[in-house]
Amino acid sequence: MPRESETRQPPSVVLDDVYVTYKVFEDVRPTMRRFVANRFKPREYAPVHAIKGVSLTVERGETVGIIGRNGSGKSTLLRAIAGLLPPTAGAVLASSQPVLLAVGAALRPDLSGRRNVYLGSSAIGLSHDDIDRRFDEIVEFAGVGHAIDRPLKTYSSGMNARLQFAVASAIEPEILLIDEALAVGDAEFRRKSAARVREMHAAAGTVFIVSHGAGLRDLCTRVVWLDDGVVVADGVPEDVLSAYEEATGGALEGDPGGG
Amino acid sequence: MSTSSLPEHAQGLRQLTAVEAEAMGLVRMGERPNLLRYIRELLERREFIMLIPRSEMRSRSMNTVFGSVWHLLNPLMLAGVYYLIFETILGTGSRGGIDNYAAFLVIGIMVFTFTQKTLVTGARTVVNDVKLLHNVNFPAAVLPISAGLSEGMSHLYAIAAMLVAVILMGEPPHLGWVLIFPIAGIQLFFNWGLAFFSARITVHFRDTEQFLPYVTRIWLYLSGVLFGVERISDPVKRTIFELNPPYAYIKLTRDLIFGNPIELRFVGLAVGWAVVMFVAGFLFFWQYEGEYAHAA
Repeated sequence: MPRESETRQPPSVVLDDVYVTYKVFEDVRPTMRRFVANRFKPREYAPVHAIKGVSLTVERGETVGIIGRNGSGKSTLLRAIAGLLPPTAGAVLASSQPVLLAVGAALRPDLSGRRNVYLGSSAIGLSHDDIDRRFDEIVEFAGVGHAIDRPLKTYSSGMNARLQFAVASAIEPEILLIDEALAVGDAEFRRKSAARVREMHAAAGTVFIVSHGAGLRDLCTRVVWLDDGVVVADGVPEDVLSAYEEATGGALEGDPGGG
Repeated sequence: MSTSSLPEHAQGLRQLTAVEAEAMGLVRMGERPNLLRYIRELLERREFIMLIPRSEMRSRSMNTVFGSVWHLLNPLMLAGVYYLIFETILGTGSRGGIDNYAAFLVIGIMVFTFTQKTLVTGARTVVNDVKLLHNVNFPAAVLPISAGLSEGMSHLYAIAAMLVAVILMGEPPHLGWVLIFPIAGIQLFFNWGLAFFSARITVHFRDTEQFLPYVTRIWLYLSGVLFGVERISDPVKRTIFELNPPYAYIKLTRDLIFGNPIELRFVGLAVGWAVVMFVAGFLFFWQYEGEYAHAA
């Protein structure tokens, strides 16, 4: 029997005993005065252990749902996978740079939707030519129509979210990370975005979706339940979601994926 | 962990260690890239770097009728006040062989303001855009670099205003003035170096932003903006004043505008300070890369 490592395809993402600790300073502002008073020692902080020893091996083509209560560490885990929040201990490895679907912070409300498409797309690494080529597609997918030349601040929150999703998903990364994005917009847009996630999955991409739980059943091939920074369960969606529903009491509300 | 219920294609595959994954060609995420890779990543983001200041200027000009003109008012007003005090009231301004004290002041203040504003804007970048670092993957140095670029673009307006002002003050324009732009370009690198320092230091001490205005004000008084450094008779003291980086940029710009011969040692100082500051600042900033998003 050949050794597993000789026959095994390289996975997409590996998390090896990952810890992420935030440096939270609570109500204490880091000031020069305190720095001098503390005899030039680095600032003291209350560490928040957001992720405590998570290990996962995710194969190419998996769509992994991450569920858990608010504050269970879902978003932190996603940002650790993206390399945005480096692990305090352990290691995160990926076969290519994962891209987090979140461009809101790069956008400027004063500028038109058009300029923001360029700004947001270039923030996630698209070249000007790439954006030119995909511009019409992005606008169509966002469904904002003529409003594309209006300042972003005049957009409804739904339009804004749609534009962000359209921009971020234009990059077509091999590993896509989605943070609650499917819960935005109206039913039609949620259907469209779920379809886009399936498209990416079909293109042999690996997708991570963070959610409170809704809509994962159809979309995911695997669900990881996170609680207090620790993996509680990891398996096929039916099993994990049922267990999660049982533990949290009551069925998960809504199903954006099913439409 | 119910490993038995993993999806079919992942069936029976065990958890890999970091070492095994690395052997299979996976790359560690969130590690500080080495210097060469960091520079390459920055170059790949040049379009984003250019787009941030353009967007900022546009969004700024959307909200004010006069847009960038407001940024010229402050230095010109400052020049007016100093002229009133040192020339009109005290009558000491033009001592030491300064023929056109008004033009001397305007040039000094405009050139110094470029450095001052980049230092102050740079201090805000990382702290203000921490949310962006939290969500989008790019080298954090993009932020101070585009902040410096943004100030550089504003400085083009300042140069235009400065030239109009000195013409009105009786300086005849000549071709040598074109060289003001490459000097401003060299100064931009010096400024970038400062912005790298102030951006990171502010992450450690938020107060930096508050006390920087005092630092820059004192620095202005020491940079030969208000008086001719040539007037200092003690050669040691004069050399100390001449070694002050902003003075090189101010001195070169003045000599160009007044049509004085350019002194090579100031060209050397201008370039030298730019290189030293840029490299040191860049290294200092890069050293903390990966931690900036943590500094929420």
